[in-house]
Amino acid sequence: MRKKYRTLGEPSDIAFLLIIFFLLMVGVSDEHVLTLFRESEVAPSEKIPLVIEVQSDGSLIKEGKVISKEQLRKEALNYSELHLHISETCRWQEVVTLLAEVEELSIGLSLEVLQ
Amino acid sequence: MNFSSAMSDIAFLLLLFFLILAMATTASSLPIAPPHSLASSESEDHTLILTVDSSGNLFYEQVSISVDEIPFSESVTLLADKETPYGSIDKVIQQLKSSGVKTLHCIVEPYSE
Repeated sequence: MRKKYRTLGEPSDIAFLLIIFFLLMVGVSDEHVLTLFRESEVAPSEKIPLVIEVQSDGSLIKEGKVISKEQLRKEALNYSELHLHISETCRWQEVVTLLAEVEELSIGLSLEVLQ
Repeated sequence: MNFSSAMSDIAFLLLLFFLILAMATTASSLPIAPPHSLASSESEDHTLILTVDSSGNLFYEQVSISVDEIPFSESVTLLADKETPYGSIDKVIQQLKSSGVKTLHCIVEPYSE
């Protein structure tokens, strides 16, 4: 008698596809971070702080004038410290968007609540 | 010899290994939607992770704690919901600064291209 074999797909092929899938999932799970505060490399006596107020809607104020994020980035190049005074009701997303603008500048960073 | 049977056994063992590895990565059961960011860097190992939800509640290892109960670590990573008001997060930041934390990061999600 001849036995009939039905091939429904090799289990090993399916297993390898699943392995590749979970390998990719593990790779995707890497976390990305932004720095919230770090110590400045400049001596305290030489620190020149840039003070920026962040309103509840995310708008930026420097010395009483509204500035854009691009202007902040340019201004921050001339300072060794950035002090952000943030409104209590400002959304965390707005703060993170701002921090992303200055992430690459490697200047001292300080966050506090706007009084 | 039935090599296909042995190969499939090995394949399933590898599958189980990577399944367990994927589950062992940092996973929070708390409903947190991290903020999106255009810039970011890779996270460091050996960092203490604190979670703040949209209501301002602080969690460490899925357990609700007060700011006074934060364990000490020189490097801390903060996972906060994008809708969390900054006032709630500032309490945690100030407590960490006063306790001597040298580096504080926050977890973000990169914008997908």
